[in-house]
Amino acid sequence: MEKVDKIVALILKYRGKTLTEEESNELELWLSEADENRSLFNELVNDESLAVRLKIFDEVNSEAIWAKSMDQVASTGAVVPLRSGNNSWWKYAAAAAVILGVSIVGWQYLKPGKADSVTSKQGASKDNFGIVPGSSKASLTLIDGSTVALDKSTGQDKIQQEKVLVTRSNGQIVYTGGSEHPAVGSKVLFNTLTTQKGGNYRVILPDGSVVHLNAASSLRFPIAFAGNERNVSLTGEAFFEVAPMPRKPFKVKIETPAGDGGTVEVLGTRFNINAYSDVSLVRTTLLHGSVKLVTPSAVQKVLKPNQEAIVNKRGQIVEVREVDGEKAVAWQKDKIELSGNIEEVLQDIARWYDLTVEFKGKIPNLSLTGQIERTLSIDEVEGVLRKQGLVFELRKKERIIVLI
Amino acid sequence: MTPKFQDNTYWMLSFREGKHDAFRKVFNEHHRSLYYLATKMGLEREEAEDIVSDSFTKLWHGRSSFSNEEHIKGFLVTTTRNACLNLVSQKKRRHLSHNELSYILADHEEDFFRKMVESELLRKLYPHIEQLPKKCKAVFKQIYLEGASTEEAAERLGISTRNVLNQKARAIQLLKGKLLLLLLICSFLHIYNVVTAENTSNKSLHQAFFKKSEKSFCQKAHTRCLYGCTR
Repeated sequence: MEKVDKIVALILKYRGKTLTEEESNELELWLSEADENRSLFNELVNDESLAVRLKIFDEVNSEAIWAKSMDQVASTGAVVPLRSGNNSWWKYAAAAAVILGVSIVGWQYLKPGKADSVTSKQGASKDNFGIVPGSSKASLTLIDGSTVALDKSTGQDKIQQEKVLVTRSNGQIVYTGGSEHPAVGSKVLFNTLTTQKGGNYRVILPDGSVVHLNAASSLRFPIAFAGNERNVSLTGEAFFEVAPMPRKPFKVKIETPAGDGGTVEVLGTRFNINAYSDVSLVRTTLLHGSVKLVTPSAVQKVLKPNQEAIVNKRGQIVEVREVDGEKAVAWQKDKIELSGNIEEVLQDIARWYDLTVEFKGKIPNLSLTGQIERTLSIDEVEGVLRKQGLVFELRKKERIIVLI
Repeated sequence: MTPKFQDNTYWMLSFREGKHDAFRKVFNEHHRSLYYLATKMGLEREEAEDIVSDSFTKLWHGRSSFSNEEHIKGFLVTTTRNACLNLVSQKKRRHLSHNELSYILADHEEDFFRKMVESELLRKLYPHIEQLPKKCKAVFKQIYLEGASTEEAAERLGISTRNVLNQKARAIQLLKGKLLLLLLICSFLHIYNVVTAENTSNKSLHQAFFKKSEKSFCQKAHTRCLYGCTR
């Protein structure tokens, strides 16, 4: 499509006699590609044949087409008052997703090699088999169970759910209106924000708390915080900046594949919880403020800033250690921290580039250092790891990192 | 395009919310070029109308998932193209051998690219005509699109020839710089016509004019004039 636009612009400039020399060459190049291009061009710059074409344009029975289309809309049961605003569009989201899928496939077919950043990267490095760094993307499950896709586009979307307005823009969704109506009916209504591998997303909760969800994670939260507690549940990894509300503690219920991962209670603080399914432990790292860990076995532990607590699969606190808090949340600044458990580092990389890790032999007794930008291409990442002495095989086609 | 339409966030939001005005804007912007594509792909008038209206119905149902205008356009073009291909193959299947059919259905990318160039160029030019004042537009369409002479246009529209010429001159003024440039050359002749020699015949006027003009300019103008003025 970009190329169509380009050629059209050149023809218009030719008609307007405003072609630069460079543009003139560009046009000539296209014309020389095929005789058909040249004959079409000649017709489009000739007024008589242009008039014949414009006549077809002019004779279109617009109102008949419009009426037919609107009849079909009405008869397919999409009872939407055409002239009024409509706040229930998400009901069509599921159907829309199907249509969208079709359109994207078709559209890429139309403009090979060009498109948004993701596809262009794929086109630019075909040998990478579509392995690209992650980006801001997620899906949001609404109170009626329907799901909308969230992307990083800069435009703004709004969804109204009960009295709560959700606004999406720039890789972030914001919940507003819940505090004016703390009791949204008698039941608590939940939304779930979910990221896949290669995704991440931010949500600003109704109380102003910010949660940055890392790849392959999900956060379930009420659209308005009623009652005297703010309860959310997490799988995967997220960084929390909790708005202080002394009489309304914020509690994160941690769900791991192995089951209940305990709870983190907060009064107002910044901390990170890492409870990935592929990591056998839950790591809670506190940067600022104070949190209380409550394990499934009801053991409690209060953490201080720059402390990290590790809870094992059986819900026991196995270690509390001093750490560099900033390293634990490097991902949040779009970096991958290479120091630390090599298995976890590789899983981090795999989650961001949508790969899987396979350990053929023993996990190498090697520690890496430094950080890598999450915007690096997979080739650059491979280079860094090899330089640091890690021996592995990257099977791009199968999207696997194999440690030999 | 109106400023409102260019306000991406505002109108996309209204579009997704199913606001009538935003949807109609999209319709106005694209239905002609889609219809044009459909006829270029070999469909009859009514078939093309059906397919285009279907495409907009589908767009309506999926409206909440579109993030920008390019995206909408892409969807409409693809949907229309696929529907056309289906219909063409249905129609041809009865009459053609398998080989002939598969040749036709190959729908070469290059061919489609050229069809897109045509329809997009027209989509960009047509609004300039549509935006002309009512009478002006009627005259312009008679002369330029229907190929009517000044007299014929006057008769069909029930106005004086003088009025036709004035409206035409006005149309040209308004279209100046709107990239319908070749057209403008002829128009100067008509303005000349109106101003200097209303009662002289077109032909002698042209001859007089050509004598004063540069050769290359004249030749272009001449072609256009034969079409616009003497038919």
